Amino acid sequence: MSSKVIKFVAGGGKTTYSKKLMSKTKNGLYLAFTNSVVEEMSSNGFLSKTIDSLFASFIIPKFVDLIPIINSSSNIKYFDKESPNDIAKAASNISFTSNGEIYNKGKKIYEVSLNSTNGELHKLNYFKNSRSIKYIFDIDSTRLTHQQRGQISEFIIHNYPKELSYIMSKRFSFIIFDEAQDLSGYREKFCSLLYSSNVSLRILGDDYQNINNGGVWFEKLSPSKINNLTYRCSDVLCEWIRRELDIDIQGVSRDASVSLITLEKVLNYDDGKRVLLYKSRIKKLADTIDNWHGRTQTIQSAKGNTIDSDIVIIGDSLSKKNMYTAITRTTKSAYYTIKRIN
Amino acid sequence: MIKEVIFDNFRNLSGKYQLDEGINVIVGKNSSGKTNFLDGLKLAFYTLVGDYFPVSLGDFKDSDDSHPIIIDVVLLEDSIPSLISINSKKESEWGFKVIVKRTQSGRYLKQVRLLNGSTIDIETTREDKKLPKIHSIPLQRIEDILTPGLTLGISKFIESDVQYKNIIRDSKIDIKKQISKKESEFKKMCLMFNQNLSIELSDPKISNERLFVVDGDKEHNARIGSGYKSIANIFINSINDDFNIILIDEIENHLHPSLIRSLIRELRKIENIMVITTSHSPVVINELFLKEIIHISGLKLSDIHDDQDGNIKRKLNKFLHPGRNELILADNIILVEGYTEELLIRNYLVQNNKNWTVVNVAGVMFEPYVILAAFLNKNIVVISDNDFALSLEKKNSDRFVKLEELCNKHNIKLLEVYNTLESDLYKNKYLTKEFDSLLKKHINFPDVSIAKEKKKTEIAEMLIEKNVDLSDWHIIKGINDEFKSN
Repeated sequence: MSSKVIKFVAGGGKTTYSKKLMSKTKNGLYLAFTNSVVEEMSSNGFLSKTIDSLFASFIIPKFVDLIPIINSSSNIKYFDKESPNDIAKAASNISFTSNGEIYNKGKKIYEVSLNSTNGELHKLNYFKNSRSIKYIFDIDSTRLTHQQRGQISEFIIHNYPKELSYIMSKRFSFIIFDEAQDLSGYREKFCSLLYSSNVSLRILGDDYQNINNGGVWFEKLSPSKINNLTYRCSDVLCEWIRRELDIDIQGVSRDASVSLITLEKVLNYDDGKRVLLYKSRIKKLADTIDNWHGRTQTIQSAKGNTIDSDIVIIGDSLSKKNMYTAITRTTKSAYYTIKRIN
Repeated sequence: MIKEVIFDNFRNLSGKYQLDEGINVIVGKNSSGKTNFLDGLKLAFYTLVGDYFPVSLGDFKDSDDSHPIIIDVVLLEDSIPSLISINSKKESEWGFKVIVKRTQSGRYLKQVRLLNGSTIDIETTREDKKLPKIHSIPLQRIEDILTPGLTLGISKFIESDVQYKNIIRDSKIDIKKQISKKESEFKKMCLMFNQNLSIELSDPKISNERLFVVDGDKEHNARIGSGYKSIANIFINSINDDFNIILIDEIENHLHPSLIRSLIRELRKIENIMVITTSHSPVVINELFLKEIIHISGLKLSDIHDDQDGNIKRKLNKFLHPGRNELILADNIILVEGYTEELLIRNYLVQNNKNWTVVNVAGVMFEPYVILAAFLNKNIVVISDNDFALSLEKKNSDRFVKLEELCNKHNIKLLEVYNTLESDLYKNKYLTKEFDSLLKKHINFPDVSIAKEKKKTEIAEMLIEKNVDLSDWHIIKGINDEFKSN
């Protein structure tokens, strides 16, 4: 199976396509962008992970002999800077480069690198930030922030691309990258590394749903197929999208409406079933969000989901991509307060 | 699939065992750990795939659980790709290890790790379609293979009778479905053994009896010998698309020799299996190649030091027939060169209840057997004629001199027979007047008696018939000295 890039509009059957492929061919892997999609795929019996969890549980453990500062028999754990522990707070300032250098708030630490052994690290007496580094690379635990895990992942991609592709190609007969327009940083490098190797990929995405500042690499890929027919949205919605957002999308024939409403009157539309969508919880929206009886969700977290009731999108302005992502969630009607789309 | 297993602190096993693709037969004395070897593999693989394997204090070496049990399973490349790790030389290593530790509360915690010691992604590993199926024969119950998860004590955990009955009913349907898929292939395999066997499909039974194989006429399964049941068990477990690891405790159980031979040959033809079995059977060993035999001490017979032309291994592969291969299974071994020696010594050991094994190498082919016995660190005595009467100067024969060198090199005791067996017995006054008709004087050396043509065996038989006591014969004394109380 060779690699393919397929661009789908929202609701264009990406999930159905993925499920079909996963049940037809053994030993596939579905890489989702959010945990909720992972859960949905897993509950259907398909092996599914986020790229982060793939690195954490599958890839990094295989490379510990090449990252000697991680003690091989240690468990990898996660922490964040919200942690009340002072050492943890200080440790969250530590970062790693793809060359294996260790920095604290932009200052290089010369005493150790990712290539030092765990034994060496713990033999060293005090040096600046040594407590934080020893906390991260403890003897029986390795504690990483999500950011540090990303940096370690990048270190592996940068230094051991051949070995990484080998591991992936041996284990997986194909890998689906979903929401590829959202890939950035090490995740994007990982996808493009595998794309240029002999691992068979299905790179699925939608240029217009790129709302996470990624997608530069993906947008340049020329797709082997474009699916602009959505199974989710009504043709009434799609007509609005074509006219207002200039995105080519075709819908199914179904009753629905798209209406502009004012923010002050939003709560009148709350019938307990309608779902409220917003980009971020800014002060101006907080009251509305808090008083809403039905479900409320950020656009980002709703991405990839289908909402089987009307939606109400609130805010003053939204980017074209956010508006597109939000409005294409529903199978029914949409109400919005957005005055400026840019 | 499995390349190497390394045991640490598991029962009486320690150290490394190399395995081969295909068939592997573990040999060794009773209670030397052969079944432990199979149990160790079960512990490792069951933990990997998430099946239950009970561990108790007795599973730790010397019942001391202060140190963990560690079992390393090194796999061949391209076996289970979820279990790759990259070592510090950037090479891929395939395999896993299982660690059993005692926790503070006194329970035993099983961990499964990559060979580099790091954690395994359990979900990705258990979804790996190349993960093998492990079958253990004799099996405990049919549901162990056919409906995973259903255990013997299930009724205790299910509160209502109706629920319990439903589970039993569903399991039967499930078993039936799985077996019917295998039926035609199973029949084909049985025909290779000239057996028209079939699988009972009418009413699968859930009980301690585990296999419901019946004759072609679908009569009750009692009509089938347990030998065929064993074979059926083995095959029924290898008919699927997966890779199967089949662990068989004593493959020869219930099987007559020709059936064992066919079974081993047929097993070699099945591509998706690795068979690991224990055996005490000379017939089994006779059917094997050296590379398929693993001594429980960890020695692999194919690692034996060969001569330049590869004669040692060639001869052992060809001539390790049931009589001679007892050398691998037994201890206190006496190597003799002919039938008469064998008769006399066997008679002595039976009369005197000795735990000796006489191995007749037939003729003068001592070398490969001496080397094999030395390789396996066996207690061994070699008995050989010095054949001095073959030369005019009464010099020991070249063959004997060479054998002496070989035995010295391996520190093996060689008992020297004065010319030939009957010359020696005559000289030591065991052949009284009654034997005169069977003996003649040697042409060159009148003081040396030898057997008349074709009378050699008769001499031995007469000695046995007459109950001649050989306890003081220097050969018997020499053996007794070497083996002490045994």
